[in-house]
Amino acid sequence: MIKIFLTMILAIASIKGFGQTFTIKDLNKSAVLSGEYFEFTKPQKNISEAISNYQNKTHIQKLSKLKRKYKKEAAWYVFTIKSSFDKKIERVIQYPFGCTDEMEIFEVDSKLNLKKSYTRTHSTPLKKRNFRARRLSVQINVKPLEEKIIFAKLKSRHIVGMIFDIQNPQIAKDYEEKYKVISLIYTGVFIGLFFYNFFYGLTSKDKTAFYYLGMLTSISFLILIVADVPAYFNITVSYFFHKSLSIHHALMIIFSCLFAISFLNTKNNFKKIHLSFVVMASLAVIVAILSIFDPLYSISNQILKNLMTLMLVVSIINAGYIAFKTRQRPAIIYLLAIGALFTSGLMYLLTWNYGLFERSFFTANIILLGSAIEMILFSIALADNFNLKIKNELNKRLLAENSLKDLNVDLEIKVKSKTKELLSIKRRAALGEMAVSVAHEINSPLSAVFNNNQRIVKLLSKENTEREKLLRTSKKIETLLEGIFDITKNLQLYGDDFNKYELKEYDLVQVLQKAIEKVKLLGKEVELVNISFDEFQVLCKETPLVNSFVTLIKYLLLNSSDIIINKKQADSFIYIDFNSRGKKLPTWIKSYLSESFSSQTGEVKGSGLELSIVKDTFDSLGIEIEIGGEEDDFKFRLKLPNSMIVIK
Amino acid sequence: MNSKNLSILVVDDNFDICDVIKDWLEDEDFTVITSSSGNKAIRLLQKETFDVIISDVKMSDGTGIDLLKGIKDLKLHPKMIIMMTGFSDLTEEYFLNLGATHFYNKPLKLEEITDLIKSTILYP
Repeated sequence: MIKIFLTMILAIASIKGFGQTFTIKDLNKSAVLSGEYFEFTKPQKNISEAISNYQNKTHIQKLSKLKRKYKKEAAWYVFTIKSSFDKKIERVIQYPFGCTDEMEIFEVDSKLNLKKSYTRTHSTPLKKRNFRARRLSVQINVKPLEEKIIFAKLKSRHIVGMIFDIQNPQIAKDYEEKYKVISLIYTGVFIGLFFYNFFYGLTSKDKTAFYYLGMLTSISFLILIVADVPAYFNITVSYFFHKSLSIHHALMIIFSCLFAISFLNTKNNFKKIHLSFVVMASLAVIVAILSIFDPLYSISNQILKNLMTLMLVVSIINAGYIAFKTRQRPAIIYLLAIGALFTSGLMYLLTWNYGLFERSFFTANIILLGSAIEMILFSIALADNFNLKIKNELNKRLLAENSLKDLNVDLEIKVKSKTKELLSIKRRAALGEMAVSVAHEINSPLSAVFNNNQRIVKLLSKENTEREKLLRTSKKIETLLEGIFDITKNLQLYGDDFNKYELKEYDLVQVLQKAIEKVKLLGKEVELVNISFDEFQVLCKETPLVNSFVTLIKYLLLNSSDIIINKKQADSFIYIDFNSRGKKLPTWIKSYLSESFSSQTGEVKGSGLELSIVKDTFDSLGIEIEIGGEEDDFKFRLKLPNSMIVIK
Repeated sequence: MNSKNLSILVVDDNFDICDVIKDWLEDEDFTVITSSSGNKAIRLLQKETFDVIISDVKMSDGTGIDLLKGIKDLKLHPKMIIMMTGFSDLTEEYFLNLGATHFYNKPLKLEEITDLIKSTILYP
């Protein structure tokens, strides 16, 4: 929308800028020339009468604005010209819509002396528009600071729709040179920003940039078309281009709307504003379609032009509202960009239509300046918008990461809590199973004791007591009771408080030997094979460690096994390897080592609690259990950490 | 029927229990053979015939329940099957339905067992 408005003004400005073309309404206000325009109220007989009536101001009226009107009879007109420059002034009188074959021109000086008279008969037909239309033009030279009065007599049956173009070749040349520079800068800015936004759109995949490009492209087409139609009077562009004018107008409106919608993100945040843009874009589409049936220069273009003006106003209001409401940078920049364009356009109109400001090169080209500022601001705003989007994305990611971290922390806490809970449940379950197992283990020997005692009673009650049987049964009872004592003793072992043992330096070999001695009492043949060193000092709590070794060997090693202590120089850890002299170890040992709690049923029911206590003991000392070898050559090892090793 | 002609199979994975029951029953002149698991007992039953079977319930290699099912599968009809257990969630009715004739909790009162055998099989 803005671009459409810009284009229209720009086209006119460019023509006026370097051509210094003024309409009659501008004549009095011209910085280059000044003068007046009069019309005789009745036909004059000759030039003398006309000069006399002009001098006496009889039968003559001053016109401020010449409107197109049809005259059935000959009519006389007067133009006064005063050059305010010290350069040659060339004046051209044109009849763009005139329909006449002849025009008599009388050049009179300021003292009303007739200097020159001639007749213009050559006329140029106005193509396409009206085959009867003719355009007559004359050139009037005005010397520096010279005043001239031109009397013009038009033949009967003519249409007066004159536009008087006054051209000063020198000034025009100056303007043209200056304008070329300005135009070049403007074109450079235009092309630069076009490609900048094109590549920005490609890289950012921001559709707003493409809407903006669409807008710029439509503008360039419009400039091309309109610039080739000097002030809409010299129609030299092809019919096709004129027909497509409405399409380009419409495209500009549509792209402007899309750009505004996308840039200001109206769809989600400002429904009513969004609707206003949609309505305007839809109207543009409808008018563009209807323009196909509309003759050239007729109502459709006028509607579109009005629609563009409406859009500019609506855009300013909308952007202003959004900027005020949200205080967001993109909306503020958008408002500034439109503001720059609007201000320049307004200044141009006030200068060239109402003479409020001095006419100069600057005011003639102010639209270019406004447009360039607007383009730069929009490009900055687009990039800024993109940066904001990236920042928002980053913030979102940061928030997501933080949330994830929080979740992780929560999860960790929950997992820890659940693990603890599970551990507690497992411990309770293990304790329950342990109790059942212990009960089973104790119950069996107790039952046997009970039955053996029954037998003793029975044997004693007989007359011929068999002494041998009695002794043997009694011995059995003793053995059974010893077994029960062992079980209860082992249970006491696990009731010990781990913290009561002191952390001291012990010889690892001796610690293991103590464990092996205990295991040997259980009937296992285990030997300590210390290959590399004689002595290893370790920092530990002796009793729990000895008990842990006992449990490990008792449950996890076969009856005849070796324990090898080794120390690797490379990592300075101590390794205790447990193997069964090449014999295959039961497969369930693997699961015992990896998760002792899962191994409370089956062959080793009741050992889960003991093994879990062993694992806790190892964990507290930083000892790792490593499982190695294949099924046939299965072995496991304990890796003692550096913190345990005492070097002397 | 003579006591010596009465063969009894005692099944328990606890050697001491088996041993004391065997001693007790042998004192009564019964012929007693022991087995340490349910599966071993089934294999033994495929070869030999027993009048009375006394079995524990919980055993690692074939439980007392497995043994009862095995007896059913082999279509054996011992005169008496006595089940004994220290800890079990299963009821006496359950074992009786499976084919057991009597059910006792540990520790067994061996006097009751011998009286039962004598009154039921030897002197009915």
